[in-house]
Amino acid sequence: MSLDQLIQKCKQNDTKAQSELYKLYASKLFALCLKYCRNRAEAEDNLQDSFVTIFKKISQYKNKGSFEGWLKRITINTALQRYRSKGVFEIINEEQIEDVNIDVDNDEVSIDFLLSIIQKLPDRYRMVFNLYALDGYSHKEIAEMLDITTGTTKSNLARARMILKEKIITYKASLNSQLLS
Amino acid sequence: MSDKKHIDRLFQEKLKDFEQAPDDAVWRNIKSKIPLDDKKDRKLIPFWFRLTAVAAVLLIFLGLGGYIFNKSSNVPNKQVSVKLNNNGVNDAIQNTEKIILQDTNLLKKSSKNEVSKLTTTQYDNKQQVSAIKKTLSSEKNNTIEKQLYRDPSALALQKSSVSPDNNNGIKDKLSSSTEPNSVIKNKSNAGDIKMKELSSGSSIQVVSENNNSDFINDSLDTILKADNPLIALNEVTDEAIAESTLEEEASEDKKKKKEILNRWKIAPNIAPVYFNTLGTGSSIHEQFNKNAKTGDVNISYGVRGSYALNTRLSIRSGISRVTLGYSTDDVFVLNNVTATPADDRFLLRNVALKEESKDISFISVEEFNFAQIPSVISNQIIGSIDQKLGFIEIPIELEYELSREKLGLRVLGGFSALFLNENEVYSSLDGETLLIGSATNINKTSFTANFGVGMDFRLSEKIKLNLEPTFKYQINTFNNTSGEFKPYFIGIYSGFSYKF
Repeated sequence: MSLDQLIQKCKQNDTKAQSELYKLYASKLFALCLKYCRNRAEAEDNLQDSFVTIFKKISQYKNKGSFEGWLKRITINTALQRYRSKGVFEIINEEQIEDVNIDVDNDEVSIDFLLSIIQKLPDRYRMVFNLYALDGYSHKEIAEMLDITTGTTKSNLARARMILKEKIITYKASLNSQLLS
Repeated sequence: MSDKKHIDRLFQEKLKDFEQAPDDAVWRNIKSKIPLDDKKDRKLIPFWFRLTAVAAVLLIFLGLGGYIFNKSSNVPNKQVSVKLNNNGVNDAIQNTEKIILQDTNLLKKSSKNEVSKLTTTQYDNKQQVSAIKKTLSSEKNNTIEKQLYRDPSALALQKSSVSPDNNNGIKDKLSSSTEPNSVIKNKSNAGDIKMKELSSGSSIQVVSENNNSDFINDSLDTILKADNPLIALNEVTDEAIAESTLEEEASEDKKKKKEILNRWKIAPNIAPVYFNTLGTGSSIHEQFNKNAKTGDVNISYGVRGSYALNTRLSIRSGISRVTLGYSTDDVFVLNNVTATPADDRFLLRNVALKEESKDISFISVEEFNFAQIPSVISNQIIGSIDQKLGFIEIPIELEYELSREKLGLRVLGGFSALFLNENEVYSSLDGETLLIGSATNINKTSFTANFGVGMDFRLSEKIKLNLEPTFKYQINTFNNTSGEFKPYFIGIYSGFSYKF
């Protein structure tokens, strides 16, 4: 069955097709949820809510643009809704933005470690970092999505990068000390 | 050995193809949360909506029909009544025009939404691209739109080259697409909307000018990202073209337009038509008011074209030939009876007799005392007067689709203009018919009010098999009738329709 046929059947609320579609995209979208949420449990909740929305709104999908893009957008929006009202964020000055280049080899850090430090970021830093650095949204778009100014998104991004950098450096240092001892 | 790299890039590289299977419980939860009754709810609303729409259409036609009928029955004079009915049809046409206008307004509204959406969105580069896309799509300039979709580099180009000039370009496009809108808005007496649109045009200009400083910031970002090959281009395009709910609505409108791209339909049809009268009157003479009347079944054939105003509502017209006939039974036909001209009792008031039939008299059986007539005679001399009429029919009807499954259902209502082209009166006695003349009280042009239901069976995307039982009430075909003579005919129209 082609993707178009699958989508068509999902529009008709065909349970088998819905299950098929879930199998096809669950892993990809769950990875997305893991990045945007605080932990695995919340990511599973978010995935669940996203798919419920997807099946409800699939009749509105009109083959404009890629289907995967559409699914991702819904998943991200669901995560944004989840954390929208939570937390107050400090605003840092532009001068505080430091050099965010880092001396690290790809093999030195695991996906799980990177994921865990993303998840530990404060909610909005996590959103902004994900949206900008990993999913390619612009500051303008992010500002609009989160209902904040681009100044805030930029400072949030800078702050997120700094936190992540510190954590990676600390991690590397602990690895090195383990090796030495 | 590792080089210093941007922290974003580290994450991008590591998480690029990251996938992880969720727990099975997630799917079970989702399954239980996709509510089946939600489906019912969604179907219920359009169903009521449909019923309301059908009721509204019927009400319009019933109202107009009643209005016209009252006018024509109050005025005995032939010419005046024809004129009034012309007015009626004008009303009907005006009404149809109104409906069309409302429909176009709906379409315009959706494009207006697009324009106002542009003002509310912030104009960063990417959104300007989508703004251009929207403008283009509203102008049906699909080629460029497609290019934007398919060619990520074209998108990037568009993205990085947004300059003041480009902004002006967008502005121009917007204003050009606004102009025709405002003309139509003016027509529908909504000048304030026009004002809004104009102001939206100017605010766009302001925003785009203000944006130039931000533009530098954003282009820095763009350069930064361009350095990172890992931001897969397709992801950027994915994201740029993924729809928000608002965009989905816009595309839904567009899709609808696409769906009814085959607006024209042609349908040859043929129908048995049964003619009769609702009351107990006569179109020939009041002495026959109480006589039994038998409607004939004749044939109507023709061709019809229809134009879809939207996905459900179509307007249609065509031309067909229709023959109607009915007999007034229980009539004595008497030869060589010298009836004094002053005594019109035995004459057919509304029939111009031919020269050779001048000496035939017709008397309703009702006028006689049956006891006086031996049954042998009565059997032989009781005949009937048969009237045969032919018309060219030109209908204007609206058709509303209730169901568009393989087996479709629709309702229709409207008017037909009938142009008389055959008018004969026969006397029929004992199986022999004799042409005796023609009726003098049939209007050359008359109208019917039509109501019907249609069923169709889809044979292919373009071809459908139709069946349409239709009731046509004749408003002013006859004048100078006696009693309650209310003629109508029922046709079971069938045929094929072809969409193109």
